[in-house]
Amino acid sequence: MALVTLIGYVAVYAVVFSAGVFYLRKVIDGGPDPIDKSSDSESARPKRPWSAVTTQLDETPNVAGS
Amino acid sequence: MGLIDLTLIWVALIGLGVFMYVLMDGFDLGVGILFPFAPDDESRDLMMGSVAPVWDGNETWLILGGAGLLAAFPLIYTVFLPALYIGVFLLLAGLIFRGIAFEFRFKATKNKHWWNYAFFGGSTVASFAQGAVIGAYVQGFETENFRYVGGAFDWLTPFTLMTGLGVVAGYALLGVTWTIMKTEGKTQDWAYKLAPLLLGAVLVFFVLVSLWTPLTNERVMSRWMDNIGWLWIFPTLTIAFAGWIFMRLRKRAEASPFIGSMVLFAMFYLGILISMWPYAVPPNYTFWDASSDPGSQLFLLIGFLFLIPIVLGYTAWTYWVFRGKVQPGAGYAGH
Repeated sequence: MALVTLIGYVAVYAVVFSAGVFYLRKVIDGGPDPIDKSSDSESARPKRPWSAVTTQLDETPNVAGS
Repeated sequence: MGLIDLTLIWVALIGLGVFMYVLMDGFDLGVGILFPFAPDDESRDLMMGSVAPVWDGNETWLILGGAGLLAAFPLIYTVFLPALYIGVFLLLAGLIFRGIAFEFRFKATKNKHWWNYAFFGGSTVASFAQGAVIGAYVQGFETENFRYVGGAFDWLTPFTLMTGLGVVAGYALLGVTWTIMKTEGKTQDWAYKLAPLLLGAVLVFFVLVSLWTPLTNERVMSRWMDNIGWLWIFPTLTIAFAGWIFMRLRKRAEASPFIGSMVLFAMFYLGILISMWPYAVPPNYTFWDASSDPGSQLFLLIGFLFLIPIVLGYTAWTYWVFRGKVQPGAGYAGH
């Protein structure tokens, strides 16, 4: 029984991490955002790293500078 | 047993932890259960935004209760884990999927519906698994010499199927009344229409469980029948509260349906407690059989005495900060 649930957890995390790596690739492709000095620091928090990026999950990112 | 009965204190502490978890994660799981039925994606954004700041804090109570259980009542772990392995796995897998759905959904545009499904599916599976676990506890475990000797699927019976669905309906009721309280306009109109139906469904499950449990369980039957002189007040109060929620919903009250639903859950919780007391691992072991060494219980109790006020404090503060109606674009959206 422990083996069945171990395989289950492996499957769950395989899905979660594939989605995460897929998204990180998009973020990297998008390149760094130009620094926006006016943005409020309240909205982006280190506790939630994703709050620092605005890249969309399922669209081709606009490459910075192009 | 000295002057202070540590075991009794631990029953109260873990009882509080589990109850806080059921109330608070109940409504945010409920919002997930209702997700596919919401009128449009705009409403879904609002609903998700309304629970985004609080949902992970709510699940702290599950960890608090789980950790306390391991330290204070190791026998419960010894028996429940092998007996409920699949159920607990489903519960955790459901929580994982709905947890990441918060992050991914706000980043998705075209494929938002995938994350809607992850949020809905994860919430529903987790709620169902919790209901089935409660059902399995009421049903009892096959034990021998302080060990579980039953099969891996003993927990899956028509009774636990029903308690699982009952908890899904109950959490959906908490979720819909929460949505009434936190939203306006068409999302709120939709919630007002749905709430009486869910309340009706919850009452049907309440009647089913109240009849089914004593009929299949002699101990529960005699507990209620021997004390019917004063215990009648609990089912009567439950029905009365349900009637009050119906009336408040018709008057389009905003906060009282949610408060009433929480009271309804408190009544169900008391009902289970009355039926099961003092058994930790029915039908053989009481909480006193299941408890750990008084030294361990005291050691952890001192920690909990600091921890519980802190958790209660930050929980209250978060709800205070995010009080009032949820605004479009709040939560994680746009970040």
